[in-house]
Amino acid sequence: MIIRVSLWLLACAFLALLLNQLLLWLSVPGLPEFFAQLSIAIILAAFGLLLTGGLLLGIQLIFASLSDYFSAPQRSLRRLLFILNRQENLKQQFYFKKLKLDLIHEAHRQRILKANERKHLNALANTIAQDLLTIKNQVPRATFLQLQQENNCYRKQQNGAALLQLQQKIAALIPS
Amino acid sequence: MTLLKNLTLQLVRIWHAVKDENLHWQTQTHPQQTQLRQAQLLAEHDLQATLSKKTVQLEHDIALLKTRHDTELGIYKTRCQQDIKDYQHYLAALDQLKTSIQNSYPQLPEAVAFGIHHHAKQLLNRMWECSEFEQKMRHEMQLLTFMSTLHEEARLHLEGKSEGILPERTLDLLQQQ
Repeated sequence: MIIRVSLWLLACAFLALLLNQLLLWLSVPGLPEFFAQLSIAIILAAFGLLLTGGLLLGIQLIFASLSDYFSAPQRSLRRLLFILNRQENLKQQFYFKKLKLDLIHEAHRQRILKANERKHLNALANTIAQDLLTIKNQVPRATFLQLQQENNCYRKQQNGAALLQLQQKIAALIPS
Repeated sequence: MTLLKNLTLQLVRIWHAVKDENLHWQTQTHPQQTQLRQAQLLAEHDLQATLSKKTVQLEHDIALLKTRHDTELGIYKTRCQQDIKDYQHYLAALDQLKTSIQNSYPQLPEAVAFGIHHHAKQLLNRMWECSEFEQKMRHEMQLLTFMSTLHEEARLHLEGKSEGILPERTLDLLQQQ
């Protein structure tokens, strides 16, 4: 309806402009200017009407959508979706809590294993140190110090394979 | 001037005619419109009731789910703690094994005892970290065979029934794997 009125007004404006051109061609004194201004005013009115109609429609749509958003069914639907989401979160949480428990206990087991490993490697290193003391007088001082240093180094590094090799080396040096 | 006045009056009449037509249509379709509005309201009310019922049911389900999860996690935690205790017992048993070897074979080098203990610990860890049940059982069997062989040899040596200063069968098992 509003669009129809606007288009009619535009048609009238074009008509007024045509009249303006005709009167100019006929060299009539005062009218052309009047028709020109009239046509401009009508065009302004047409577009103004269109814009106002559009704005009013927009505002109406906004109010309608707001009232829909705050209506009871939509509020209930949102609450339901929120609770569904909470259920999904709970399921995910369960999975991750289980994973956390797994990791914690695995870390605990690794700590126990490492402590046990440390205990036995220290025992081995102590035996090696004792063996070294028995051969202290049979080997040069530099060799003795180097072997002692290696023993301490491998004990600090907790390197079992190296300690075993070191003991084999020292066992070879022990006079049978 | 009169032309303009006539034109304006004509336009006003057209506008009123349009409004009259609209009012006539509204009056004619008034019952249907009321029916439509009523149906819409009822449908909305029904939808809201269904949604509220579903919400209540879902909340109840969530409460149940939470309790079930808490229980399951509690059981799982206890099981893990028991597993850790079992692991500690296994390690203590292996330590005891090493001490028994060292007591049975006094001339045994520390390196050999360490090697045997290390191998046993490797078997234990392999068994513990395995995820497939069959493989786990196989590894456990290997570990138990190893430990029993060692115990047997140590006992025989202590009773003086075996010869040699080294646990031969255990070392053979070590060589095999």
